[in-house]
Amino acid sequence: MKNDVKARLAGVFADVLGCDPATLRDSDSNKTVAGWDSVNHMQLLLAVEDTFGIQFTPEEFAALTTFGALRQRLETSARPES
Amino acid sequence: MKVRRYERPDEVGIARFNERLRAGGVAWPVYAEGPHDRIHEDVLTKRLFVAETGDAVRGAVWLHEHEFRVGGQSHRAGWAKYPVSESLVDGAFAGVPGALVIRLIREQPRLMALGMGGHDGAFARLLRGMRWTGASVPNYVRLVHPMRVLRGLSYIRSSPVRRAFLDTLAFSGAGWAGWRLYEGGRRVAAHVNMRGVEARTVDQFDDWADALWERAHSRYGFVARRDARMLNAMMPASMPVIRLRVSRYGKDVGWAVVRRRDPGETSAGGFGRLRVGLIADALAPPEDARVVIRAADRFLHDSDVDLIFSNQMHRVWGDALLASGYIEAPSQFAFYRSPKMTELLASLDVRDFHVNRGDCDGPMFA
Repeated sequence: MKNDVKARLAGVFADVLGCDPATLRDSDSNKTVAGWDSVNHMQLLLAVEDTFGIQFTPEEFAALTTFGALRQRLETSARPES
Repeated sequence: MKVRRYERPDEVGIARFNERLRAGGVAWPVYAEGPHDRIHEDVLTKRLFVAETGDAVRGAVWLHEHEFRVGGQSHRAGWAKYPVSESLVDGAFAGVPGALVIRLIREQPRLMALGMGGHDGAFARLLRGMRWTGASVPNYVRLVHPMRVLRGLSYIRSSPVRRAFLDTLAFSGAGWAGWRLYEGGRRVAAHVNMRGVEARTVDQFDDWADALWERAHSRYGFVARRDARMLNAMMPASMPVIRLRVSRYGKDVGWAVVRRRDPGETSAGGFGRLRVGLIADALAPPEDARVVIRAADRFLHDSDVDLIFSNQMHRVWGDALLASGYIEAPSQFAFYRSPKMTELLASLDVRDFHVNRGDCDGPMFA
């Protein structure tokens, strides 16, 4: 499940930002990924919403600014209920 | 960070926020919400949203909602107005503008924005990133005193405004004499019968404006409610505009709202020492648009302005301006609509939209 989320998320990054999905690490942010500016950030999160069928809060739009934070958020929402 | 509705105690946080912006060289303060914003809430709802971290305000945006007509049907939609963010002075808050817009979209999915200095501004780029659809609101200009405009250009400090004027002048092709020939030719070719037409200044809109609204609104694909109550809410008596009631032989044919900007008025755009006229808004059944524009133009011409401009999206009003000798010049005035608003307007062409400087912020030069 975790690997699936990571791979799909990396695919969204590649589509929106044109980066190599194989090189993405949890610590990657707008400071380390080329083209991840405030405009592309919105495109990125809207594309993630579409791909994963979720809706971020306005606060999350401002806070989810690293690959790792996004991955963790998606894994939390994808976790099956016990 | 949290985005929420403005509350009275935020006044202090907003004042501090404005101070930080001012210190960073940003001259657009956030205005706190007050009782005056609720005076017209039967037709126009104004709500302020703030972004905060801890107890500090980091950004704010207004949501103005009111009625629009789309194909004659009533719909409620909103404008995102005056977005201001600490990201203007501190990159650490780059996520604030997006979070503010997302909050507004959740409040009112049918959302629009107007002006923004054109498509290259930060807010317009952000909206495009959020899949909003953008279009330029065509800009029409007539040089009343070309030589004064030429002299005035040297005092215009704002390079975008200066460039727009220079581009406009270049459009005339043959220079000053050519400009006069062009303008005169257009006015003669598009003969507008002004016999019996009178433009009277009025202090407010009244029953006569309601009657015009009833006659006109279904003739436009998309138009903001413009009956007397709405117009008086959008353009209260305190606003420095001139309301022209246009009639022919005593029968109302339409109205126009114009402004005149005199040299030295620093709060009215970057026009230096030029006397500038603005035809901000107008409404009439389409067949009377040319008469209303010509009447508004004549009023401003007689006010001794150097140039007159008007931003009009609808083809009828653009055509009316061209028929009065205006030329279409580069536009720095953009209209953006959210995905849900785009959906609502999908069956219409943008030139069916009655959008101009009377919308959103109301009649402003900048």
